[in-house]
Amino acid sequence: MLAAVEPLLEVRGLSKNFGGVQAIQDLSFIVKPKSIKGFIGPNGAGKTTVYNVISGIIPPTCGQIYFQGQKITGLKPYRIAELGLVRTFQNIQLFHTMTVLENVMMGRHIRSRSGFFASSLRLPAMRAEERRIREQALETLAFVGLQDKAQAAASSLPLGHQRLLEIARALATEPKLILLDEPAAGLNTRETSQLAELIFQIRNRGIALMIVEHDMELVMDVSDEIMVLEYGRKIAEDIPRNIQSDPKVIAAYLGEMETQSDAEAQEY
Amino acid sequence: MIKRVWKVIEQFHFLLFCLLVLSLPLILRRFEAGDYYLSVLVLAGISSIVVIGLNLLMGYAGQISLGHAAFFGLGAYSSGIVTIRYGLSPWLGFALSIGLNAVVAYILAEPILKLKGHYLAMATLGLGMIFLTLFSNLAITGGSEGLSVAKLSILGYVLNSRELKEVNYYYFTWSIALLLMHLALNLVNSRVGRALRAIHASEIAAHSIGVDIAKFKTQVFVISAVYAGVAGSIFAHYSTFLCPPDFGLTQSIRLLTMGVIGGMSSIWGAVLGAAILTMLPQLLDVFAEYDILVYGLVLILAIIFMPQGMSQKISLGWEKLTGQGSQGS
Repeated sequence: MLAAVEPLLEVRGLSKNFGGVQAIQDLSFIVKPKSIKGFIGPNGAGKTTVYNVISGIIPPTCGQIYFQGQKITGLKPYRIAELGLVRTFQNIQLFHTMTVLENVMMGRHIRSRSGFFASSLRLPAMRAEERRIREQALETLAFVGLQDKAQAAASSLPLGHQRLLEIARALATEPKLILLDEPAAGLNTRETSQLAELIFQIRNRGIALMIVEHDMELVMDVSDEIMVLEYGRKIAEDIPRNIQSDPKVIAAYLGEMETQSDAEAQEY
Repeated sequence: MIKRVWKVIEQFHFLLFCLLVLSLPLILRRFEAGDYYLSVLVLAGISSIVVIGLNLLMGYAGQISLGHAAFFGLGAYSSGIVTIRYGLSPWLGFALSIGLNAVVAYILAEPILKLKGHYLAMATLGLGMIFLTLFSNLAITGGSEGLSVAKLSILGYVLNSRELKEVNYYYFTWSIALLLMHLALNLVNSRVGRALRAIHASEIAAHSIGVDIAKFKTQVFVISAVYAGVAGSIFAHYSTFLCPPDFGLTQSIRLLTMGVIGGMSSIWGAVLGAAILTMLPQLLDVFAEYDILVYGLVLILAIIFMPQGMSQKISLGWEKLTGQGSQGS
C-alpha cells in the first residue's frame, strides 16, 4: 500500500497569452517532493515563460498554481520565495556590484529579520544575526565549492562559477523547490558533469528541482521524469528512457533541426 | 611600526574623523581664522546630512531624486512656521519636521517609486517644482517675501547669539551630522544595506530571492526625506530667514552634485562632496553669477574622470599607500 505523495508543486490548466500569441496553452503538471523534473522543448516553446509565471514575475492568463497545497497564483515573487520556491535565470542575474559572499548572504535575506532600526543602531541581536548569516552563507559557498572565492567580486567570476554562485544564492534561501533555467549553458564537459553531481547533492538535501536544459545528456542523466513542451503545449511527460523513444518528441526536435537546416540551406 | 599606525587609523577612522571635527574650531582659532570659516563649515554640515540621505536613496538603492530640495524645504518651513507663526518650541519644530517629512515621503513613495529611470527622474523633478510653488505662494510660508525664523535656544540659552554663535552652532550641527552619519554607516553594512544594493544591482534577482522591493524602496525614501528634513530645520534656525529659491531646482541639483563628486555609493563620499562643494563656491567667488556654470562643469568632469566619486579615488589611494590593495576592506 503506497500512500499517495502530495505534490510539492501543482500547476493546473495554466495558459499565458501575450497579445494574440498563446505562449502557454492549458498546461498541467506536478512536481513531487525531492524529485528532479527535466523540462525540455525546442527554443521558443515557452519554458522560461512557465518559470516566469510560476515564480510570480508575470501573471497567468488563466490557470492555478499550488505550492505545498497553497494557492500561489497572484502572490508577489518575494512571497513565493518565502514559501520556499526560488529560481535561477538563463541570463545570469547576480548582484554584480557585490562580493561572492554578499551574493549568498542575500539568499539569507528572507530567513533573517533585522530592519532599518536594528541595523542602524547595530543592536546586539542584529550583530548576532549578521554573524549567523555570514556563517550560513560560507557553508553554502563551500557546498557548491566556491569557498575560496568568497571575497572576490561576483562580476569577476568565470561563467561556470557565476552559475554555481546563482545556485548557491538560491540554496541559501532554504528552498523546497529550485527552478533551474539552463544551468549548463556555457559550461564545458567537465563543469557539466560537476553540475550533475551538484544537482544530485541538492536533491539529497531533500530539495526538489526542476531543470530547463538543452544539454540532453545532462537532462536524461539527472531527471526522474521529463516533461516536453512544444509551442506552449505539453506533448509528452514520462521517464527519460521513454522520452528518448517518444515519436512526438523526436518529431518536435527533428522538426527543429529541419527548420534549422532549411534556414541554413536558404543562406547558401 | 608604520603598518600598525595605518591599521589603527583604518580601524578607528570614524572616531578619528569625529575628533577632527571636534577640534577644527580650536585649530581655526589658533590660526586666527574668523567666524566666516566656521559658518562655511556649518553649511557643509547641513548639506552633509541631506547628501547622506540622498546617497542612501540614490547610491545604495539606485533610486534617483531630482527633487530633494523639497524635503529640505519642508523641514525648514516646518521649523519656521512652528516657531514664528505659532510661537512654539523649536524642538517641536524639529519633531514636526521629522514627522511631516516621514508622512509625506511615505505617501509619495508608493506611486513615485513604481517609476524607473528617466520617469522617476521626471517625477521627482515635478515633485520639487510642486513644493517650490507651494513655498512661494502659500500665505503660511510668507510666500516670495520669505519667512523670518527665530534663533535656536536650548533651555533659554540662545545657541546662535552673541560672540560664540558660530562655534556653538558648529558643534550643534556637527553633533547631529556625526550621529546621522554613524547610523547611516551602520545601516549600509547590514542586511538592509545589502538589500538596498541588491535592488540597485538587479531588481528581478532581488525579487526572486525574496526581497520585498516596494517595502525597502519606501523605507529608504522615508529615511532620506527625514535626513533632508532634519537638515532643513537646522538650516532654518541658522539662516533665520527662509526664501523659496533656496529650496528650488538649483538646490536639488547642488545636492545631487555633492553626491556625485564625493561618491554616490559611499556615506563618506556624501560628507566629502558636501564639504568640497560648500567650500568651493567661497573660493570661486570671482565667478559670481556664473557659479552655476562652474557647478555644471565640475559635475561633468567628475562623471568623466571619477564616476565612482572622490571617496573611491581616496580609498584606492589609501590601499596603494598601505599596500593592502589585494586584501580589500
